Amino acid sequence: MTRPAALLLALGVVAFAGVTTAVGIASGAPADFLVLDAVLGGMFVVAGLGAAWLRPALPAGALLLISGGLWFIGSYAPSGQPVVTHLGFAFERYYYLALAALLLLLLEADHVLRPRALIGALAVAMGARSAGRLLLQDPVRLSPDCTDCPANPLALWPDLGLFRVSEVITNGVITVLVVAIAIVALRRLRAAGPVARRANWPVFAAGGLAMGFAAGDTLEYAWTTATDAPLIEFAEPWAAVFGWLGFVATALVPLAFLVGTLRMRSMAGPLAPFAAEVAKSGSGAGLGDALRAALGDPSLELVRSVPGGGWASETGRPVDHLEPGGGRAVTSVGSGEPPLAALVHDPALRDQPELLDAVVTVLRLALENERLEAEVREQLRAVTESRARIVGAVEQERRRLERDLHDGAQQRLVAVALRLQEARSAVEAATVPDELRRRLDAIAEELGIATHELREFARGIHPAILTDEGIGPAVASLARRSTIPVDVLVELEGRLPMAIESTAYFTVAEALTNAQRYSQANLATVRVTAGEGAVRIEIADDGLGGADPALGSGLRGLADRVTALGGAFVVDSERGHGTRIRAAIPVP
Amino acid sequence: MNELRAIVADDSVVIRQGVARILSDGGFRIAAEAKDAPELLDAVESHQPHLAVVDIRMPPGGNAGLGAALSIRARHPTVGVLVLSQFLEPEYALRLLGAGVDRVGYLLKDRLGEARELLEAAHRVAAGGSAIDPAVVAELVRARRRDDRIGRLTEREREVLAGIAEGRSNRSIAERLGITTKTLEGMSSTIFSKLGLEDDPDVNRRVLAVLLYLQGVATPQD
Repeated sequence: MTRPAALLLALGVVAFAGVTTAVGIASGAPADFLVLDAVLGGMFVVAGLGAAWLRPALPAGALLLISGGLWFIGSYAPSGQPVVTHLGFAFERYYYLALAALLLLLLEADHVLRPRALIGALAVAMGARSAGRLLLQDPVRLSPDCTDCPANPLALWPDLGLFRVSEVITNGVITVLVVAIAIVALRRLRAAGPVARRANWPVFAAGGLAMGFAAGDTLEYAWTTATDAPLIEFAEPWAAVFGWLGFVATALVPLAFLVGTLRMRSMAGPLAPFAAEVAKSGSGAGLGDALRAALGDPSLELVRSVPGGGWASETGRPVDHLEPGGGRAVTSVGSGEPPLAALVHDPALRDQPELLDAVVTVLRLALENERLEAEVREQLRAVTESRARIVGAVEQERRRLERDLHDGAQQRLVAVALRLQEARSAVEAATVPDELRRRLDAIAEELGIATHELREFARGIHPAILTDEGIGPAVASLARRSTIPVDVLVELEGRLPMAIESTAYFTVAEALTNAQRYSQANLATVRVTAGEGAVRIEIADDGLGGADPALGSGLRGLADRVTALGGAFVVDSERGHGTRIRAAIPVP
Repeated sequence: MNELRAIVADDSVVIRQGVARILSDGGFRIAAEAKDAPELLDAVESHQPHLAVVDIRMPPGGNAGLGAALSIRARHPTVGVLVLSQFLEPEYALRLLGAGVDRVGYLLKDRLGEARELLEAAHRVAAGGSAIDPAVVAELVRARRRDDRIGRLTEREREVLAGIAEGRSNRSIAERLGITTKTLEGMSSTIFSKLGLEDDPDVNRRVLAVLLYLQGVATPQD
């Protein structure tokens, strides 16, 4: 309930109470009754306003205020006015409904009334009782011996027998329902967590007591009406005492609610809004204001240590010295040297050491957290960069290796082949044993195989065609060598940075190798496209699927390489649905 | 006057001299030797040889040899260019060929151990024909192995097709397969009709047609 609505409702209740009290005074009701009635009813209004102010999320404020209004309806009863008296009698104690609703609502996290049927049944029973009292009872016509009873002008069918039946049934039902609601409410309290129990037990104690008295009241009423004899004979003054106790227990409910709510607030104290502010905006702007509000010292200044030495004020101005004096105290935040920050404040704050300690602790945690976060972010940045550099260096190294193999070892083999060829020519011309000729031929053959193997080896390390001609021709070459048909589409303009080209190429190479080895696919497709600041690589096959990047070190390594370049790597390989590998690498 | 002039370019002295020796033993006169791309281009400019044998990888870096070969092909159409390469990648060969197969060759350096093959290719290129390394042609044929038309060829016919793609003359192919040129001509016209290609009496145009077919560029007419 919003605060203005609560205020309006409270004003209405107070005005109504004024009317009933005025009627009471006019009809000569006893003063002590009027005063007590006004005080007890007023407590509902006060508690209702308090609830609306302190816990606006709860509907408790509205319920308490409505209870207050219903409370004062009963005040009509003792007046001498016949209509007023009978209205008061007919509609007395409707606040049971509001109290029952409050008890059932309090522990519901979503603030929804449950069980609805119980409250509904209670409302129906009370309505039926009111109807019976209004329409069936006329003491003057029904019992002429009651001399000071006022006549009921609203009684349409005055019938004592029917009235008694109505009273017995409705009061009996109300008794049962009130007891049932009290049991449900108390069981709910027992099942609630310790925090909810601690905050709410006073309300439930008072509420339980009030419901107990209410049940006793209605039971007694039903019994008396049915048997014309009291259930339990109380000697005066006990009858009056019990009657008042019921009232007081009812009035304790709003009081207990208010106390519980205030206790919850005092437990949180001024630290709660401060912690919330720190959690919301970190150590940015507003921290100083939050500190000043939390500690109640408008003169407080937050001074932070600057990396590299020195201090700075909240506005970033350098602060020369941090010496206590001039009627100011300095409290360090954090135990390091220098500390993370310091508070320059009114020395009187030292009189509240717990509060100061708590605020400084929250502040220290926030500042340390921020510093750690900055450190971690910086480390992550450094690691990301060095990872990309490592991948780049590896590519560079592979390229160098391939070059060295081609220009070194392979050239040597070619030179050997040349020499061997010369030797074979010389042998051709001379007369030598056939055996020697055969041996030279065998050497030439071995040499050819060695050259071929070396070429394939160098190609696997880093194909020259990738360096020289780029991804398109290199991927086409891969597709040509594949044992399963590969449909290739490469749409790139110009060349990309070496690390990206290599990673894209080896992604395709590894994916195609896996497809050939394990997938039993009939067709594979390769797409390499550029756009939106990234090069996208997709390799799909129509094979068995079920490839697991966690198991295959090849896929794992590729994912590492792609992510090292800041890219993304996804493997879709549901068993029976082929394998699709997608990678996107950002192009700087 | 019918003396054939050649330039050999390779940054390795051993290989340069080895190639030069094979060529001079085989009837070429070595007009100049070059150890890098600029030297090669200068030498071609001043000597206008019949043949330049070019290492694909030469200083000043990368595939400068291939670049030099391409520029000779563009600027000196009368100079035959035979590129020696350590890469079994048809992409390089196809780039070297460009749009024509006259006076051009792409051989793997492995062939330096087979003087006769190197010489044969050199003569073919110097005479205006082409020479594509058998291993490179085999790669191209392999790439088209799922092509139904290639599948329809017999083993023998496929060997003939490879020979044509390598740039060999009918006589050379016939000799290699041990058949008569007459038989070969018959086979080759069968091959062309099976592939849906137009048979052309001009050797270079036949080579080009077959290479384009193998490359997947030519769409055979049905």
